[in-house]
Amino acid sequence: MNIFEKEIIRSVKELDCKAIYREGNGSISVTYDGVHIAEIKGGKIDGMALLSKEEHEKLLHVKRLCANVLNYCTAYENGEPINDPNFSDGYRIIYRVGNAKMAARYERISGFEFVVWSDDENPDFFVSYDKARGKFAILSGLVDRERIFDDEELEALYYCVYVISEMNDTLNEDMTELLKKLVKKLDIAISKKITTERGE
Amino acid sequence: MIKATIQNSPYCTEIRFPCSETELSKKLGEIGMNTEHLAPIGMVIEIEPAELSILQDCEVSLDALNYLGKRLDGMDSREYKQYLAVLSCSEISEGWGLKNMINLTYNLARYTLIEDTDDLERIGHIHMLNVRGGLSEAEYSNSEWLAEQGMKLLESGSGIDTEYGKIYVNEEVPFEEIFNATTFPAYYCEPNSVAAVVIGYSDLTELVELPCEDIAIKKALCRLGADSIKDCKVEVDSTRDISDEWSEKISEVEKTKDLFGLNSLLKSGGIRMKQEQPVSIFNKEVTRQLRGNDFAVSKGDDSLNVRTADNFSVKIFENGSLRVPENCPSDSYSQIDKIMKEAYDFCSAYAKAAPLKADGLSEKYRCLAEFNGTVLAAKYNEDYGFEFVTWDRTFDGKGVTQGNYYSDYSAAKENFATRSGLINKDMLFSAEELEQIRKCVDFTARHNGDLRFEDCQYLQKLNEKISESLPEQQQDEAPEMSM
Repeated sequence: MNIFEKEIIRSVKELDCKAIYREGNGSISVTYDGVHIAEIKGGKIDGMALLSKEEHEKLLHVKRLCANVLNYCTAYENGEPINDPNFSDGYRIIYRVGNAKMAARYERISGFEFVVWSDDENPDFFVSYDKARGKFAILSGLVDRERIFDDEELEALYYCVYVISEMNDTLNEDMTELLKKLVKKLDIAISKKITTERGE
Repeated sequence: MIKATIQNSPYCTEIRFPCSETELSKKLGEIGMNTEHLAPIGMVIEIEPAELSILQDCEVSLDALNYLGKRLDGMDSREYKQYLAVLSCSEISEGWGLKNMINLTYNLARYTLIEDTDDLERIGHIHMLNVRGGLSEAEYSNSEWLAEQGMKLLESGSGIDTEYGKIYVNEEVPFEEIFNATTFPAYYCEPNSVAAVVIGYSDLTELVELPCEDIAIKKALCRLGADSIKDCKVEVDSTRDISDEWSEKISEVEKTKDLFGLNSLLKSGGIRMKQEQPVSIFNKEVTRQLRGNDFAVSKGDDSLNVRTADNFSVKIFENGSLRVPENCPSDSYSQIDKIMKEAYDFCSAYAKAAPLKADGLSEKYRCLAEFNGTVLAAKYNEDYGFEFVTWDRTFDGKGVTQGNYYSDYSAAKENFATRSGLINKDMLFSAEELEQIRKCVDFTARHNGDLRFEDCQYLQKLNEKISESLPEQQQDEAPEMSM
């Protein structure tokens, strides 16, 4: 098995799925609650047909996970080692944008660990690829720090907008509509954050 | 400027310092002194500013007084007040005489002058800038830290009242002897000089800026104690942007030591200056953008001069820094600062970027960033400024496809961040969405009686964070819900 396959098998467990490596054809079979939902081979994922809504939802999460894992595994395999005594062995630079750098290290048991830093900021270590990417986006100046919210902040924002949107008698129709849309978007943001983080 | 009445008994004359050697010679003649004296000394009868009055009735070196005049002329208004405040303060004494008055010009960091004690952040800013000589960008924008430093200074209670404000002695900064009362420390103050030459003799050095009056070189040799320039080491310290041919001629003086010959040559004129440096992309771009926002921009010697709506002149330098007049309100230049910072951001990224390699791409783009098969590229055009584009790499990674084009750098960066998967699109909110969220958070924090005090505080902090990313005009609007 290569690193990508090992990482997929390790990380789909976080999505409450099981993965079995088939030595015969080199593919990974992913099951959820005993149902075969996907087949992964050479970085490509095929979803099974006739899935329930819940199984299909799970399949989408597995696909997203698979794409992410493929990205950082490929980048890791092509990455250059960091020759810096401040970093422990095994880190390879996987992305650079401007002064910001992201590096990854692979451990057979625990999987990947990521580190993000720039010329102006000390290294931050992450197990979550999403969190590492978020930090990387900020350090590279692509997104303003103030525009990224963490889990706790998103929950608080959701609460405030939800409470106001439920005040049907005092809000006009347009405002109600607008706030409902925002509630939905915040709900998606929270669930995506939770899902993708679990996925790693 | 120093105005002094100098006496060579029984004659008196008024001399304004700094002055040229020719002017000084003329004045020496008026009071019956040798006009070519290499170390003229005179008695000070009256002197202005009054803070220098300790020199009254003393015999002083007129060249040293002239040097002090040059140093004071080179100060900005804040430094000048700081200097006078120290001298006016009877509690501070470093053994004031002309020597230490000159040394004080090099030791202002030891004394912080606070004119207004109301604004802690400003006090911290003035104090730290004075002590350190500069602040990092992070320190400069860290209001809390600056206010803390300001508070520390005030709470030290060591301020001494002067007519210029309170003076604080920074004991951790030693008073250093830069001027040894023999040779003058190097000081570049001649705007029209072409070259600066360091003359070394024994352990002493003097700097002369060329072209100059010959007597200035003779005086420098006299202070060094050298009989002839041939006995000295001559080193060209710096030259202005002159042609290579002239640069070589000037360098030869290090071997020939014919400093007087070189001085005559430079005085005779005909020096070919290098062609003016081409205007940088940053200067062009920031000028274009500021003019597009109705600011008047003109080019200064080493900076761009931008006039604010309330008629303050703000300078923008090539390194992306801004110099703002002391009393200019921050509202007045915040838009200039924002435009300048963004332009500096993408111009410096563009300057460092490599050309984008992509099959079939006819135009010349540079690759600003590439992540996960997505490219952020930029192209510069003299007439239209910058064009930004995000692309996906083709399946073989050799070409690019599906371009999204932008003139706004922030929008292009955001598209790149979401398109490349760095940030989930659902986790970024538009300005309109953030504004609505801000209103909801504000309303909840104010009117929800079920919340604990710390929850309300948390929400208020969250609102401050949201406000940071909103355009200013939206921040100023009343945050009430329209219900």
